[in-house]
Amino acid sequence: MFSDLGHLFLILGWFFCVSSMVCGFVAARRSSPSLFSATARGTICCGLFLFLSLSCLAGAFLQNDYTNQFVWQFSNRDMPTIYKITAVWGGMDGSMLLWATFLGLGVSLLAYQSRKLASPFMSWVLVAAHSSTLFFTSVTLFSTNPFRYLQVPVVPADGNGLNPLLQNPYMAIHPPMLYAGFTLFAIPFAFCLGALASGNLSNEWIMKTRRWTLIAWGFLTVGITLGGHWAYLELGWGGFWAWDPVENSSFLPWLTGTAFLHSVMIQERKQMLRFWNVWLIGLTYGLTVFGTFLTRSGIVQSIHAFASTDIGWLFLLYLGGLVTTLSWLSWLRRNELRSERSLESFLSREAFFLLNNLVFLSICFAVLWGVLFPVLSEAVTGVKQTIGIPFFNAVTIPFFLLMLLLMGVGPAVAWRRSNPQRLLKACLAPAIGAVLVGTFLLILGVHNLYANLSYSLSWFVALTVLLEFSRAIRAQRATNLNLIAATTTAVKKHQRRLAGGLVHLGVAITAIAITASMAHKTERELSIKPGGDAVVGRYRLVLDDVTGDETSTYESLVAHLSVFSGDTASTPLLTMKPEMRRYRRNSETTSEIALRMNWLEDLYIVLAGVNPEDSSVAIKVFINPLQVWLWFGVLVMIAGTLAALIPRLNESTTLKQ
Amino acid sequence: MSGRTRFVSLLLGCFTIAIILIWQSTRSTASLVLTPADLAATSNEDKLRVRMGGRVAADGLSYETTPLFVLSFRLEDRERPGSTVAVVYRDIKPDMFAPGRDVLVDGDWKGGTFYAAHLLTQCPSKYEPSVPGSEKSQK
Repeated sequence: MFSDLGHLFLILGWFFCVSSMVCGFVAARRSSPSLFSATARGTICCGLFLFLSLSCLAGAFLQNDYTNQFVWQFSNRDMPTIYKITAVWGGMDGSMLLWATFLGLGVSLLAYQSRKLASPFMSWVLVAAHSSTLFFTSVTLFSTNPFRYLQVPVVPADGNGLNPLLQNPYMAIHPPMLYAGFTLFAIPFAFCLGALASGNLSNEWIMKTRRWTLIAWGFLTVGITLGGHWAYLELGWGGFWAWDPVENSSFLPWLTGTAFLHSVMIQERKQMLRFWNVWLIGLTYGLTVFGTFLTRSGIVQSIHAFASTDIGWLFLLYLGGLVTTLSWLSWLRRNELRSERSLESFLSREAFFLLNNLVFLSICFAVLWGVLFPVLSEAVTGVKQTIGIPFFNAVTIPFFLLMLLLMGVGPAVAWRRSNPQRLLKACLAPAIGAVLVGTFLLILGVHNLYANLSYSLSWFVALTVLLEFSRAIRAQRATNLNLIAATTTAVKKHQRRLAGGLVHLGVAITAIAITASMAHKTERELSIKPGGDAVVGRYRLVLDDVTGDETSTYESLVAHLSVFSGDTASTPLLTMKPEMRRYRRNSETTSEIALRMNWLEDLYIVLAGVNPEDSSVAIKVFINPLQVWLWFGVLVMIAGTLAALIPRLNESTTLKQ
Repeated sequence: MSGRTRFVSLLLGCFTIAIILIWQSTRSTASLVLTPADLAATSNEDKLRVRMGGRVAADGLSYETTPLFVLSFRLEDRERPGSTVAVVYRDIKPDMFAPGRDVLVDGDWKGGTFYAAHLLTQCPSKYEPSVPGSEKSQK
C-alpha cells in the first residue's frame, strides 16, 4: 500500500513542480502578485507531496514490503527499525528521491518565507529553484523510481538486506547531511539566476542568500566530516580520507562554496566581483551536479561508482543546460555585472579575499584534474593513466599552507589600501608565536618542512583569532564594562567578524590534527599468543583471551587485549576488544575496530585473524596523534557557522533602542 | 598599475603556480591503467606502475597473518574471464574483499607479479545487489 501511495505522491509532487514553475514564469512576465502567491502555494504543495512520497518509501521499508524491488534489495526482516529507515538512502533510487525531497522542502521553505514579497525577481527565483526540483523529481519518477515492483512470480519471504558496513549510526546521518548541503546550494544559485533574469543585480540576491549559503556550507562540512568519521571507525584502515572520486566530488563544491562565502563579502562592501560571484555560485551548484554525473556515469573508475550507469548522462545534459543558461544570462546582463570599483592595491582586504578565492579555485582545479586525468589522458594520448593519493597530497598541501597564511594575515589587512607598517605591527605578535612554535618543534624533531610549516601557520591563525577576540573585548572593557558585559557587547557588535574568526580557529585546529595524523602516524602489524604481549609506542598490549560470540545475524571472534601504559605498569589502562564478524546471510566478514580516544592520540586496533591452532591473534595497531582534534576542529567550525547564522544581535538591539 | 591589471596579475600568478604544481606532480605520480588481460600480455621483464581493476578469482586466494599480513590472490579480467594476474598485497585484508568482488589495485608490476600498495574494494554504499528478474517494471 505504501509503495502505491508513495508513487502517487511522487507523481503529484512532480505535477505541482511543473505547474508552479509555469505559474511562476507567467507571474514573472506579468509582474502579477496573485500568480506569485499561487506559485508559492504550489511550491509548498510540491515539497509536501515529495516529503509524503519519501515517508511512504520509509513506510514500505518498515512494512517489509518485498513486492517493492528497492525495499527487497536493501532490507530484510532482521534489520533494526532504525536501519530499515536509513536503508531508504542505502541505494541509488532512494537517494535520488531523498535529493528531490530535500530540494522540494528547501524550495518550499523559500516560497513560504517570501510568500508576501511578490516581485518579478522572486518569481524568477522560484522558477529557477523549480527547474532544479523538476530535474531531480523527473529523474526519480522516470528513471530511478524506488516504487517499482520486484519481478518475481512469488513474493520473497525476506529481503536481501543492507550491507552490514552501512548499518552504522554515521551512515544513517552522513548521506542526508551531504544531500542537504548539495541541494541547498541550489537556492543561492536560484537567487543568482533570478537576479540575472529580472535584471535586479543589486546586492539584494547576495544579502538574501548569505544565510542559505552558510546553511548549505555547514551541512556539506558536517556531511563530509561524518563520512570521514564513518570510514575511520568502520573501514579499519586507520584513515579518514583517501581522495577517492566520490570523496572528491563532495569536496569540490565545498571548495567553491567556501570561496563564494568569502567573495560575496567584497561585493557586499565594495560592489566588486559581481560577475565572479555569479559564476562562482554557478560553479558550486554545477559541481554538485557534476559529482553526481561522475559517480553515476561510470566514466571514472571508483570504488564508489554505482552499478547502473544510465542516468549519469542525464546529469551531464542538465549540466550543459545550466552552463548554457548561465552564459546566456551573463551575456545579456554584462553591463549590469560590471564592477563599480577596482582593486586599488595588492595590500588590501579585497586583494587578499581575491587571492583566497584563487587558491580555493586552484585546489578545486587540481582535484578536478586528478579525478578526470584518466579520461583526459586516454582522450589525448590514447593511453589511459591515473593519478592517486601522492598526486593530491603533492598539489594540495602547498595551497593549503598558503591558505593558512592568508587566513592569518587577511583579517589584519585594511579595506582599499593597507599601511605596511600597521599591518606588520598587527601581525607581529602572532608571527613571533608561530616562529617560536616552529623552532620548538624543530628542536623536538619535526624536520618535515610541510608538517612544521603547517603547525606554525595553524598557530599563527589561532593566535590571530584569539588576539582579535581579546582586542574586541578589551575595547569594551575600556568603557568601564565588566568582563562578561564587555564580552557580550563585543560579540553583539562584531558578531559576523567573530563568528568568522571562530570558523578560522576551527580550521586551524583541524589543520593541526590532519598534519599530525599524516606526519606522525604509527602503524604496526603484530601477532600475539594468549598470555603474550607486544609493545607499540608507549603502550604494552597483552592478549588475555579470545572468545566467540553470536547474535541472530552474525557470529564473531573477540580478542581481549589489556592495554598498559609503558613497559612496567602493572594495572591496565583498559581492556580493548577488537572483533571480527561473519554475517550468516551473505557470509560477509567485517572488522569492528577497538578504539581508545584521548586528547593526545587514538589507539586504534583491528583484529585481522585468529589462528585456530594456538589461538594467537593477528592485529594491526595504529597510533594516530591528535586525531580527536580533527573532529573537535570541525565542531568549532560549525559553532562559528551557527554563530554567524543567528539573526544579527546588534540589529535587534538597535531596533529595540 | 590599474585595478584590472592587478586583478589579472593575481589571477595569472596563482594559476601559473597551480599549473606548474599540477604538471610536475602528474608527471611524477601518474600510473598506467590496465586490465589484467593487458598486463598478462606484457613481458615479465617489464617494470610498470599500474592501476588495475578486476574481479577477485575464486582460486589462488590465500591470507597469511603471521608474521606479517600477506594477501595473495589472482585478479581476473572482467571482460575476459580466463585472463588472470597474480597479486600480492602486504596489508590487512579489507572487509569487503571476497572472491567474485570487484577491486582496484594500485602498485608495481615486477617479474610477473603485481605488488599492490593500495587495494580498494567496492564501496558498500554504492553496491547494488542483483535483482531477480532482469526487467524492472513500473508500479
